[in-house]
Amino acid sequence: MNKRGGFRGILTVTVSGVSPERFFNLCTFHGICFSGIQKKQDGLSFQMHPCDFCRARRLARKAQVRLKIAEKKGLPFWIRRSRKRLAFFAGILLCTAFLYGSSLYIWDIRLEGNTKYTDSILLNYLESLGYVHGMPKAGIVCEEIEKEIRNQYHDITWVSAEITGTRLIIQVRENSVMEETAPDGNEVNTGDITAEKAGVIVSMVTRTGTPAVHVGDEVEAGQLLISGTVTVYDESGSEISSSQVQADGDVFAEISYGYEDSFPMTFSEKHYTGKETSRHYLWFFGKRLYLPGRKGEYPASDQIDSYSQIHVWGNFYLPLGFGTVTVREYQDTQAVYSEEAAEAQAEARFLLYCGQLEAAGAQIEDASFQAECDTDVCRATGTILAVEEISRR
Amino acid sequence: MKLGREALVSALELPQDLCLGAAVITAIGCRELTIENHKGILEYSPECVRILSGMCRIRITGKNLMISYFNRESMKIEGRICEIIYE
Repeated sequence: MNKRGGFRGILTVTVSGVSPERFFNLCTFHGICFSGIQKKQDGLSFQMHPCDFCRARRLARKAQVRLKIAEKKGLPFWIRRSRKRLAFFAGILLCTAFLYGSSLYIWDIRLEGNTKYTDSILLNYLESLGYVHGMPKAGIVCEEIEKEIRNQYHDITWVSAEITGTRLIIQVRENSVMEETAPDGNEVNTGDITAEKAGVIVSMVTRTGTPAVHVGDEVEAGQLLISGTVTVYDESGSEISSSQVQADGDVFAEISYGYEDSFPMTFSEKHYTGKETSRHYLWFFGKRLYLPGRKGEYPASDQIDSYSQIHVWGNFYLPLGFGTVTVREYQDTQAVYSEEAAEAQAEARFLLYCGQLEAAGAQIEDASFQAECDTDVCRATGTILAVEEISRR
Repeated sequence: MKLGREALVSALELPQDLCLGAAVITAIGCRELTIENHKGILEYSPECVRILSGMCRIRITGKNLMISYFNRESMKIEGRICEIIYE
């Protein structure tokens, strides 16, 4: 039993008479529960639910005791006490109406799974289709959004759009490697596999076709690797038949990449002066209302905009929010790399290049580089030995 | 007859609270006591609570005794408990 009454309410009652114990036993026999039974000056005090009070009063007569309500707590009694506070109830009604009205619109569009296409690109595209913040939920067909995005961006392979609360959540899956269009059932594709890059073959698996090179061979770019012509010979070695197929297989080669890079020893650096101004704003139905404050106009500055939207629970976002725009002044200063710093920068750039190669599917086996710095330029040269697939249809 | 039932229940190792209506008393320290399977209150005062159970009467004595909750199945007594006496 909630001591503060809760939604059902609670009564604190005082019982006095010949035998309060008999009254308690009668009530429990009839399924009435008590809590907090204790001795008071004018009898025994206890707490009970208001809905049990009428039954308890009948049983009190039988047990020859008197009941007296000492205190009423909880929501039902509070509403009854507050019935004259019309403005308060009007506020509750308005708030409910506002929440209900807000729930009919989309107040947040969330994109998940996109890396190549940024949020702003996809949001601009959705805006061009008419899907914007503040649009009615009734006008949204999720299947249409999925179809439009798939049609517009061919390397987005999967799209899921769903409305949860006042949020439109769009999940996309991008394909970094474009898949070739599947051939039609009736059409028979034929062709060879050639080398995309020059290298030494380290592994080769032929699924369809005739291999034209072997493991250990050095190949040039464009050289035939797997032929699409399949020839059948008899026991004497003479050709029986020949057919054309689409060659298929995986060919991995060891490729040596030459690395060359250079960058100037001087660079511009942002030096923050420490001067900054912040402006707070309220976001209300898609509009920003700035609170009084200095704008912060500096010759060179950057802005940090932090914003948060109010949500009642989970995905129920409201058209209300607040944020802060902080403007920080900086000065562009020209700085010169020290020799160690330049070497570290050259190494960082080299590692970035290696990372890009690995992201493209290469497996780096050996990498080395050397950096030479003079007064103006830092030059880095190196070699990278990588194994990667070189087959091209 | 009652003794015979008790002996039978004891011999068959049956639960006494179900077969004989014995009260189940759980005491937590000397501040809290829960009694299940009771038959009602006989007397209540801040110094003494007497409870009827299926087998006997239970007298709980102490100081500032208060019944936290009381329903058909169980009740909980809080306060400074000094004695639990089976009458």
